This record gives sequence, structure tokens and C-alpha cells, in this order.
Amino acid sequence: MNKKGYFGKFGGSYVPETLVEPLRVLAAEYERYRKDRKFNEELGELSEKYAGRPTPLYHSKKLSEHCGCRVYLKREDLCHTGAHKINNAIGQALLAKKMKKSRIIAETGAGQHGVAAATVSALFGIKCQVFMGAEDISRQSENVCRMKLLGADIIQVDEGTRTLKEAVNATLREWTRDPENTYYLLGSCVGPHPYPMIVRDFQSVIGREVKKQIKEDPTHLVACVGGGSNSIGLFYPFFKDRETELIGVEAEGAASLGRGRIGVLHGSRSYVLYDDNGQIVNTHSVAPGLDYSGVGPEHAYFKDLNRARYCRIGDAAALKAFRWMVSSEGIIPALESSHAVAWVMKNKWKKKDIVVICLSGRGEKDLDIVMKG
Amino acid sequence: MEKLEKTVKKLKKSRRPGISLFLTGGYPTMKAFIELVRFIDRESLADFIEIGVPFSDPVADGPTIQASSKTAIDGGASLRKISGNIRSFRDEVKIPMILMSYLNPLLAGGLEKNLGMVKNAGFSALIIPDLPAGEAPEVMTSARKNGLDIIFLAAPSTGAARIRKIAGMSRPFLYYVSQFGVTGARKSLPAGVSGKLRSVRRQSAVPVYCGFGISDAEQAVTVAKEADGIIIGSALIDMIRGPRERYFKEIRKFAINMRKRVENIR
Ligand SMILES: Cc1ncc(COP(=O)(O)O)c(C=O)c1O
Repeated sequence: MNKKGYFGKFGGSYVPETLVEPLRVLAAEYERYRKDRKFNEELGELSEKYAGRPTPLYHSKKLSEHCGCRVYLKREDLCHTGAHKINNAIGQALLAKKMKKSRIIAETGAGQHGVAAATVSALFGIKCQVFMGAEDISRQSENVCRMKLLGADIIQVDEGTRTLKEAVNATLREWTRDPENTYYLLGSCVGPHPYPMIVRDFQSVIGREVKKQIKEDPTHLVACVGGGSNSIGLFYPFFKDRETELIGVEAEGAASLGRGRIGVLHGSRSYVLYDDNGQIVNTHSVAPGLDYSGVGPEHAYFKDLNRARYCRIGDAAALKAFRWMVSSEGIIPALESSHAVAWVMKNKWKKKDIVVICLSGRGEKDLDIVMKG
Repeated sequence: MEKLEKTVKKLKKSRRPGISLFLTGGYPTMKAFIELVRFIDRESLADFIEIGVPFSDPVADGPTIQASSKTAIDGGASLRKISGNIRSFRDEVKIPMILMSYLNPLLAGGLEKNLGMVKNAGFSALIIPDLPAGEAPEVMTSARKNGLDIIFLAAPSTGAARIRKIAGMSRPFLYYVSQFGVTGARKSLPAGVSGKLRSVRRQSAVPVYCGFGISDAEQAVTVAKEADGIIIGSALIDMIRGPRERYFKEIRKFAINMRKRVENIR
């Protein structure tokens, strides 16, 4: 990444002028704290004792048998609050505390980032507001209850498809209203610079742990891609390991990398799903966390470099993989993570392949969707 | 049509604050929108008109323009349709026109081609709310090549050095955002707006126009005392409802009153 926040030609900072200065300050503060010994000690302590890191790398015999190769699951589902989102939330909330912000705002799709943001806000005693589309509020009601219990205000967003894209719009607008006192805790590696970098750095703990935990070099790393944070967290530490293939799995109905064109959404230039008039199009996925028309700019860069490959999985295959995981492994995976599992189950493998799947979260939040479907 | 730059210069010389009215392109319908543009021009209700390309995700806009944009998009409005319609009567319009668009509709299908189309339609300048000064210099290069100015925005959070930088890039004026938050009519303007405007004008080599939230003549007077001109958006859009004759009358009354109140302010 260069100084101005570009990954090749992707990224940047396409925001209303009001946010230029707050973003400059955020980048400067982050630059200062990322190298700060005390900050990193606090982060390490919280990651370990509070969030439960390192998460296990589990050799799944059943999946290995099914695929005819060795398959490992990186168990982010075992993190406190149930998904990888907590890694980023802890890091950014620490930053918010250092920056003496009195309020945290966050967008959420699946509710996992909202829960993570509400959790760290409770921990640090900072007021928290979570913006969530009405559609997601109704399909992820368990997470809505958790956020409310944690003391967060849920702000229902009724525009457009009433999902993640509109929740980001609403949170950006709210930040514009009071950037001085408000910390915008963005939940994925999207948005204007420096967010894609900050989120990637805090999520990279996933890949760093895998490197330590696995004895032989993995041949394939597979993760689902919504905004792209669990995948970039897994991929980034392996960027230079050319023999390791990186595979991102998008939802069939929300494949920005697979079907999008280069455009600008939510402050960065990346692959975006839009029509011939430049209007952002609606997406669909059974997994709320993947139901998004854009994707992090660093993935766009990885795609153009041919460093990572991006594939698609539809609702039905994801639901099938979900059920298979529950009945064969005794693990209830998030529907988002089920996309990565589904792709691995579908692919042809060689015996010597060593595959690591990021099991980004657990699926208790998805029981309503699965039982209805 | 008179060039925007010339109009702005003339206004500056005459010491009369300029008035710009904002319309969402294609709202409430394409036909009614076109009639509105011609009405404002015919009756000289503004010094120039700003026309917004509706966008699906207008992050700098409040409820009014979000809603008008959605209606316009649902009615089929797009950069191409708006440009085509404006082009068809460009030679009959006296007052200069500015195109307001988020970046993605300008990029879709090719920036170069789109800016050519915008110029051809008769627009003099662009306002791009999600393109801060200094980002994506190729947009400015392409605009210049097509004979279009870019009006950049400055905000309450913008520091003095950056205001000078923005003013150095912005033609023919600088757009000062009066307050934090998004567009939309407000009951009152922020307390420090006059002082802030004075300091922005001191930093700026080009005239400073101010908008965001100005909703009545009282507020217009406050702003026009310090700025070279005012921009009114949401308050105008809010009037566009019900039968055409009624909102034409309301807009006429609003604009004439506004003009009268700010005319001899300096
Ligand atoms: C469990 C889980 N996995 C994946 C995602 C997708 O986000 P990202 O691509 O940023 O990892 C989400 C988002 O809500 C999620 O909750």
C-alpha cells in the first residue's frame, strides 16, 4: 500500500470533505499506536485473555475424508462473541479509547460485528450505537437481543434493500454529523483509507497463528468474502508464500469480485456491483454478512495481481454444507463460513493438498434462517 | 447560455450575493423536472442552477435528497437521460448550469465519455460530493480536457492550509459546507458560521459560496452577509409536491423573497 492509501489502483479515500480531516487524524493516530509497545501489550492481553486467542487449528478428519486431502479449520467460531469480528473490534476500540472518543458507532449486517462492537464498548465503558438494516434486524434477531443486552442502541435503517450497504451509508452519515467525539468502528476491510489497512492489520492475527500452528506449508487457504476481513486476515501473512493458493469465496448473489466492475462505493475504489448508470445494485445472499455490493480494495488488488482467486457459492450449497458440518462434525458454522466449507467440499483435491478453511464464525445466529429454509 | 465563470465574476463585482438553486434531476418526474428548470430560468429565480444526478447511495445527503433521488431513479433518471434532456433545450437557457454527481455514475461506462456528454449538454462545472480535493487527479484532468470546471468543497473540519489548497483547485468558486452532517433543511444554522465563513474567505483566492441546510430567508441573510453566494437545495426540493401550479407559485415566492432580502446586504 502506498502513502495515500492505495493498493495498486484500488482504495483511496472518496468521502465528503467533512470526513477528510477525521480520517487524516485516524491514520496518524493509528500510525502512532501500531508501533506503540504498550498499545500492543494491551491488545495482546485482551486478545488472549478476553477474546480467547489463539484459536485452535483443528484437523477435521471428516472433511479430510470427504475431500481426499488434509483439511484444517481455523476456529474463529470459538472466539469470544462467536466470530473473527472481535479481533478488529478490540483493536479499534483500544484506538478509540486512546483517542478519547466518547461514542462508538458501527454498521452491521449479520450482527456479528455489531455484537463485537457492543461488547468492547461495554468493556471500555463507551457509548455505542449500531446501525442495522431492517431486513437484517428481522433475520438476525438473536444478535439484536445480544446487542441490546450489551447496552448498545440499535438504529434501524429502512432505506433500499435494508441490509449492510444501507447500514454503512447511515453510519457514514452519522459520523459526518459529529466526527469530533465519535469513533466509527468499521467492521470490514472496506471504506476509505485507513480502514482497509487497520482492519486487515487487526485481522492478520488469523493468518499469523495459522503459520505457527501448521507444521507443513498449506497448499490452499480458503475463506468467505463479504467485505473481506476474515479472508484478508488469513491471506495477508501468506502474501509472499507464492506456493500457497489463496481462494476467496463470495456469495453467488453478491459477487463483487466475480461479477462487479471497478467503481467507487463507501469511500474506496474497488470492484463493485452496479448497473450501466452507475447505480449500486441490490444483492442477495442467505448469509447476511456476505450480502454486500462492494468488497475491500486489497482483494481487488489481489485479484488483479492474480495472487488470489475468487469463486462463488450459492445459497443451496452453503445451506447443504452447513447441515453437513452440524451432523458430521458437530460444529454449527455461520452461514457466511459455510460458503467456504461448501467450496472446499465441492472442489477436486489431490491427496497431498493441505487446505485451511477459515471458519469465521459460529451459526447460532442463523438458526432462524436455516429452520425456515 | 452565459458562462458560469462570467456570471460569478459579474456578481462579485456588483457585490450582490449569488443565488444557486439545486434540483434533483428527474424529480418528481423527468417532464416536471425539465419544466422546473425552464421555469427558474424564464423567471430568473436564480443566478445558476445546480442539477443533481440521483445516486443510489448518496452518503452526503439527508432524507430529502435521499427520497428525491430514489423517486428519480425509480422513474428512470440517469446521467445519460438528464444530459440528453438538458441538451435538447440548452440553447434556450440563459443561466449557467452546474452538474452535481457522486463519482460512481460519472465513472460508469467511462469517465471521459461521460464528461464529454455533460459538457455537450451545456453544463459549465461539476460538483462531486465524494471526491475531496486531491483525490483521483485524473478526474480533474479529464474535466479540464472537456472544458468543465470542478467546484470543490470545504467543510467546518477543514484546516486553513487545506482550504488554501482546495481554493487553488476550485473553479470558479469554492463551495463551503456550512455545517457538520448531511444536506437537509435545518431550523437553525450553527452558531459560528459567520466567523468561519469570514476566515474561509480570507484563505480563498476564489469566491466562496455556502450551502447545506439553508432553508429560509433569515438564514440566507446570515450566510449572504459573509459569503459570495448561497446554495439552496433541500428546502427547495421540500416544496416540490402536490399540483404543479401550486409549487411553482411557492418556489417563485420563496426565490423572489430570498433575492430581495439578500440583494443589498453589502
Ligand atoms: C461469521 C462471519 N463471517 C464472515 C463475515 C463476512 O465479513 P468479512 O468478509 O469481512 O469477513 C461476517 C460478516 O458479518 C460474519 O459474521
